[in-house]
Amino acid sequence: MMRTIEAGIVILIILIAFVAVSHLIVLPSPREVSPHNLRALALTILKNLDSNGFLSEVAFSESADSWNELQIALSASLPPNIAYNLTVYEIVGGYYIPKKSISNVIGKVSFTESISYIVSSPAVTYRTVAQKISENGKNLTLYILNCEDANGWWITGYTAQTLALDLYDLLSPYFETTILVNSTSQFRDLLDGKNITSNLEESVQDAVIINTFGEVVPIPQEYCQGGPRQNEGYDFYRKSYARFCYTLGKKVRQFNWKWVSIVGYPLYYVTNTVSLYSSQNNYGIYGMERVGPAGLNAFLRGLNNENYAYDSTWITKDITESYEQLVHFTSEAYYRSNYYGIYPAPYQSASRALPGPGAPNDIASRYNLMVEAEVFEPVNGYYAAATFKHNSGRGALVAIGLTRTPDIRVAALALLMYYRPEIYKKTFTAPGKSRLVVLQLAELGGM
Amino acid sequence: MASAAIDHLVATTVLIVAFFIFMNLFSQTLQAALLYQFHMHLATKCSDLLDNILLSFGNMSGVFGLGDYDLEPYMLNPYYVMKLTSASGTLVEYPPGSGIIYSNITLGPGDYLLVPVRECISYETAQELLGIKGLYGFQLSLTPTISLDFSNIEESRNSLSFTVNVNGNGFPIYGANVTCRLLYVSRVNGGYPVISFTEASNLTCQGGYAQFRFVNVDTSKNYLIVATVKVANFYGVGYIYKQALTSAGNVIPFIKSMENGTIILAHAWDVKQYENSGALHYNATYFVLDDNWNLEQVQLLGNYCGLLNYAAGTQGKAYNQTQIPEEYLGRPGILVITCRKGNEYGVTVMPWQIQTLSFSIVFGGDPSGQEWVATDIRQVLIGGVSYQAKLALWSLKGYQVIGVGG
Repeated sequence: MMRTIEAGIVILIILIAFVAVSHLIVLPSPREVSPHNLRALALTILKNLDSNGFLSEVAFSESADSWNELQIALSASLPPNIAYNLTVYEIVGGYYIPKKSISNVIGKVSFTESISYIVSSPAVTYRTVAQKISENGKNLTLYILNCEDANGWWITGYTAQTLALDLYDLLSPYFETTILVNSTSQFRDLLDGKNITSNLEESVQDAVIINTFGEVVPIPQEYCQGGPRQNEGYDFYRKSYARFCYTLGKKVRQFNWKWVSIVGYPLYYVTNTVSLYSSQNNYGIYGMERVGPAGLNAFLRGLNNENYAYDSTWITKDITESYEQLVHFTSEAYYRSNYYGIYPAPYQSASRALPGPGAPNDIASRYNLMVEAEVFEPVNGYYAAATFKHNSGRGALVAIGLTRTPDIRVAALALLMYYRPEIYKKTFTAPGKSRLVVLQLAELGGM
Repeated sequence: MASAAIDHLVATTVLIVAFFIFMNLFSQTLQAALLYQFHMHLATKCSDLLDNILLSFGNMSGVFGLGDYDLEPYMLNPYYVMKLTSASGTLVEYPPGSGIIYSNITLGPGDYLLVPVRECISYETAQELLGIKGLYGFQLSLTPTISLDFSNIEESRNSLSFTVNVNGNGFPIYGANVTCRLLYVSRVNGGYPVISFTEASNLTCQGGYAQFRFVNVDTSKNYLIVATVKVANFYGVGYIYKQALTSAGNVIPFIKSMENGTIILAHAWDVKQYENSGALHYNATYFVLDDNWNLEQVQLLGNYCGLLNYAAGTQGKAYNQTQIPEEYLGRPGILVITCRKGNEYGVTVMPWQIQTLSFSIVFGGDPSGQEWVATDIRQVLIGGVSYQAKLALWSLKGYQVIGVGG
């Protein structure tokens, strides 16, 4: 009998334990288990209401019609079982002063979710000021090749001149001095280290030069065959202007230039519509002559301070064709794209990607270069858009090896990613010009 | 000695029985708690996945998104939306036996959006791109939040009056500016119906409706009314047509290529919808919309009017092909095809970008039969039109979260 009593006691203990556990384990209601994310819904509604400034306008408005319209839009957007209360606060000296409130509830409701959203007065014009790009404490000069006596290639649908103007608009806020190089003779002066304007801020040393002519590089007449500097521009043995590309590489090193190629295979042709008027690029475009892959190889030799040699090895890769994939923005490119408000497509076709570490003909190890500011993720060691900076710290090549037609925004982004200038928002914290909108929501009915 | 043994036996038996009963009770409690955890996880996953779809852009290399890189978050790219394989309509093969399959959004006998499946993204591909294949099933639906309905339509000889009812999510919307565009067959030229259009605006009253009356318009043949409303900065769209079908059906548009805007105009008989293969004179009129939803008529490239019949005679054929001019492909538009068989008139409408006629779309699997389906909603804008994006998500694996169809 004793054992039965003991068993009964044990059962009682377990029963008490079960009751206690049942009371302690409070399972949530089904709504809590699978709730609608009301905060996210509220945020999307506020964002969409403000997508063309409507919410900002109403938040600063006293017009009853505007507030009615806002209330109608809110009621139309939210599910019928959602109660809401939208309050606009003015921010003064760190205090939030309620200005106006609308709600679809009479009486008291316990709001379970709230979302806040800052709006700015439509009357305020926000100004931003870009930090000027500098190096070693000195503001840099941006030169954009805009030579009238040159033709472009792989810039189909554009002219170098229109691209130059667009680049000017896009990048001039970031440079103390931006200069359009309007002829190959001005370009020759640059190669000689001479200023081409009377602007006291102009400096050839450490400058950035953007070649807007696509795969073609303008060549001054003096460097053409028969010109006084033909020995620096023309390879008589190979009958090639690769020699000029070599000279250009040397100058990039000498003056610590950042040479920007906006599309395709860099330095694949040279152009001068006067000296090369009877030459064409095998595609019927006169005023230019094909150099081929030897141009880039010679340039890199010059940049690396090597002796000139003719090398026609093709080194770029068509990522799109060879690997059947597009190139994608790096996370840094996404961030900088948003930061600078420059939005090229984040997926691109790259048919002239330069080989970096891990790829055959790696130019980084061959020519003592560092790969920096990659705009696109490398594919098997090939870089579709990046800056190849010489280890000596003198000279760099910013190569955009995308397929034509060029998107100059990629070139601009690549350059900005390399220098990373700051953007200063001048009036963003102007007092009384921002208001806080708080939308509170509660789900009515149901379990 | 015997009583002790009996006592022992009874005690042991009672204890064992009680033990199993309590084991069962405890396991039920634990089971329920685990289940709730699974459900909670599913709800969180649903919310994440919905944001992922709405905020990402493109459908390549591990990305499936409907967002637009050039627009703000939660504003969708109309073309990505058009390319979703519709789960609501049966796939259509045209020409029959050709193996060319079209995703089908059909709202009625005169409202079609047929997009070639080869240009669409399928449910399975979307699952793969989202990385949830074999783990979760989902259904994404995009439904306009502002609806416009028509009632009290009265036709007299030269006038047309009707009421437009504007509703939000269950509420009538008052004080909203409604604009109606009336597109009507004004005459017949060389056998082909010709469309004219006129428009009027009015504010909705407290009951959320606005009345319209068009005079000096010929409504005896056929017409289409497209109404738009602007509430704050959200648009809503509704439409109605008089008569979709003739006794020989009507003309059904198939988008042959979204990239170059080619459209096949097929006799309904040839799509195997009607027995009557009678000749149809048609006129395809294309309207592009500007930012304020004003209609601008654009001439289609080739075959915008023609004769369709059973193709065995000397005249006409079972289908024709036309094209939207390239410069208008990036803009929203509405294709209106009026057709005539004797004195009978039919009409077909097709949106170029779903928001222009407020089409809804359902994409993905079927949630019915699943044990637990988590849902979440967001508000999105497609070309200025407010839509509710709803994602239903269910698990294809896990303890008691899969249904029979699992």
